[in-house]
Amino acid sequence: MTWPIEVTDRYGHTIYMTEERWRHAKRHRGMSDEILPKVLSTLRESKRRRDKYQFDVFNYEKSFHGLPFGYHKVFVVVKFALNQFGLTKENNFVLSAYLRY
Amino acid sequence: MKELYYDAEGDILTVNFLPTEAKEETGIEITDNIVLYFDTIDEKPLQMILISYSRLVAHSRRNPLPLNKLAKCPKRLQRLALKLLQQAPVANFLDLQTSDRDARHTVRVKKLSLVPQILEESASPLRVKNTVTEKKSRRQPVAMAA
Repeated sequence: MTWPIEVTDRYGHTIYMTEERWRHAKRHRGMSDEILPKVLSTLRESKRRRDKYQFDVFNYEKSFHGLPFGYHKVFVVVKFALNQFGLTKENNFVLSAYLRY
Repeated sequence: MKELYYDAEGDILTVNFLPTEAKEETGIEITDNIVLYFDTIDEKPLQMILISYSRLVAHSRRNPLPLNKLAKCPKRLQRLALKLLQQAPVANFLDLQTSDRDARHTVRVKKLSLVPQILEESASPLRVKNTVTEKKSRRQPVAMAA
């Protein structure tokens, strides 16, 4: 696995995840390296929903079978930003991820 | 014991209540941006995640957050979550309020004081991690007795 991992969401936005951010996600219940492909799949395929409190943060949510402890959904929190050196280049990155009922 | 991790970049607070494995666990969103994980057999809280934590504190101070997401869960989980919200250690972080008029539940997110802690990791340069302690116990280390 080469970090950072880069994926493109269904809207055409490029989003990357650093190893440090993945370590943060793995602090959460049920999260492990085995979940990583599902997290990436969530980013690629699911619809995004704007965070209620931060306009530049979006949540991606997707249901899966076979998640640990009977959890049903993977959530990925993504911050959308522009590159500090150019207003036209996006700098979108994963903040964290977690599982939920 | 509980451990607190505050991620300043994402404004995400993670609270680990119990380090042990659960007999049977679940995690439900009780309101927007707050997920509570608990052991459904032992009826103990395991973990809580608060996304946009500082904004939750500010917003809930003005307008307590309705437990609207909780209503979508099975009744048994609703009852258990409400029970946990009313007692420590979850109540140390969330202040549950019930309306006299219509018995609707809301929560206020309590403000914690931030204590930066410098951690050195062998495989990487010096890293700064923000950790959080409860306001009334600033002198205590990151891991605190429940």
